[in-house]
Amino acid sequence: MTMEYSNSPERQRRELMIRLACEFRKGTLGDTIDKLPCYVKPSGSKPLHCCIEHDRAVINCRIMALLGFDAQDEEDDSRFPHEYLELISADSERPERPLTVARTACSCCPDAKIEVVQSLCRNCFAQTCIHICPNNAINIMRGKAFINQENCAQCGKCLIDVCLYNAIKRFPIPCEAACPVGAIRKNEQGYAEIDFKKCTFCGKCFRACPYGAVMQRSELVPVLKTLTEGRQAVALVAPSMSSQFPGGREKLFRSLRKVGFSEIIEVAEAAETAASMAAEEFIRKMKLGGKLVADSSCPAFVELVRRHLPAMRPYLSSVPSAMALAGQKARELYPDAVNIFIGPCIAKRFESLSCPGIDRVITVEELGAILIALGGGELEPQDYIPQDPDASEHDFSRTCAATGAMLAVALESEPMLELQEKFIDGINAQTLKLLHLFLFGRSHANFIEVLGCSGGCKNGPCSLAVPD
Amino acid sequence: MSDDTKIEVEIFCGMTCYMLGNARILNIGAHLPEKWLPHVELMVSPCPVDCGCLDLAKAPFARINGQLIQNATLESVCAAITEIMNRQEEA
Repeated sequence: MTMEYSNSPERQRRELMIRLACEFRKGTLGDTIDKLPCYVKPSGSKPLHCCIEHDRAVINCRIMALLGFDAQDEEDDSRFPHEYLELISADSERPERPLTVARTACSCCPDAKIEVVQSLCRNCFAQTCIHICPNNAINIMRGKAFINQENCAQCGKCLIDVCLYNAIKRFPIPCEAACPVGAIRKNEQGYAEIDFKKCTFCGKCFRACPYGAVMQRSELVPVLKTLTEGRQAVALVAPSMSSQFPGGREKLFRSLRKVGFSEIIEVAEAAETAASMAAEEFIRKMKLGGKLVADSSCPAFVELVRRHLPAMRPYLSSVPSAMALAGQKARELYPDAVNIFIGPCIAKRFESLSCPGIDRVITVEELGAILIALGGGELEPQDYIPQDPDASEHDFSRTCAATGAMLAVALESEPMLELQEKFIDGINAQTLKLLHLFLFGRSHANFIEVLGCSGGCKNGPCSLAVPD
Repeated sequence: MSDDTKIEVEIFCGMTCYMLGNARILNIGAHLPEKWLPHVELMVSPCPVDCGCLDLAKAPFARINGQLIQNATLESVCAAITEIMNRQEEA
């Protein structure tokens, strides 16, 4: 469950990034950062919450997260944004947990339930809803169907083509419904809270919350400082980047150099290496009688296995991710540089904490704000017209899910081995069940490749590209 | 509606408008009835305001038959086109 249409939290998040980066470039951020909520939500504008002051308080939380701080555990409500800003330098410590929930923004959604919308119920003679409920939870009260929540098991049988007037609806808690592993829950006060022992940082709650209460802790300001203080910075560009910005790869790379990146490394090259290593590992394991190898390209899937699928751990590929390999290469080539990975993924932020070759991670949205602020844009209007992604020598890896294709090629020289590949496009409750079936041998595959985001990395939670 | 009916849809494109929603609007052709497409002329233009983005609160921008739409979304642009097409079809 995500918001695939134009939506206000996404817009406000991006607007704040742009404003923050532009004020930074002008050298006025310290003076204006406390006023940003008033710029974004000026007097007289229509409040989203109870009043405009509440809206501005939420924006303050967004600024706090944009500065890399944790809105979920902050106990000092008296700090102003400029006080957080003063704590940041180009060498600031990295946020350990990339996600946070701002209580000020959380609307404390009512408990999830299935309900009869009273104005739609016609108290029909068929009473199919009553007959179909296995728990006798539906009765007629005052001439309308009514669900007794104590008896309702939320099985959803009454939802599917039962009421011809569409009077029965499921009312979800969007963040909870989106999380495939139950890592976000309402706490005792009713606010959403992330359990970081369970969270895989897939970013589904971040995209699902209609109030934008789930925020990511950004490294935008340390990166802006790195770029403007003349330090050597390497951009490690994710394979999915060619679909994120208009104008094509070459123009993007020129823009990156213009805003201060001295070197650019395409992670797509490392993705080919990683896929090739995974193919070798697969062949080696199969020859030794192994039954299954799970690809380790997607960091959300790797965390899913580590935290929720212990039985799959032995099958997880030991091949480092393309980002880790590219970071290693960057460190070897430019030992004094700051290596900054750029992509549409939140889980990469978490993965990067254990990659010695990666110093910072920014999202494509944040890069967009940097290009606007530091004058990286050199696009003509025609460049914005949607086109097919660049055709180039590394297109193979850019498509993501490359390992299976690489395996198929590698196995041509191993006629005794048969590839039974399963590709899982997006982690959700259904695909989790499927993964359990592989483990219990009820579904046959000897190689599984899982992408946390449906449609692949280009549809990541911080993507600028229009979802498929 | 005559065959020469034209609706000029002008999408303003700088990186700011692109980030704030015009990336979606550029795909508008996929969201309109096929029979309308010959009548819709999609154009991309440089930003109408100085995109140091002091006017961020009003971005992104689009213009339909000369009328400027602020805070444009795919849905609002589609709605504006639909309204014009419906008017033309009734006439």
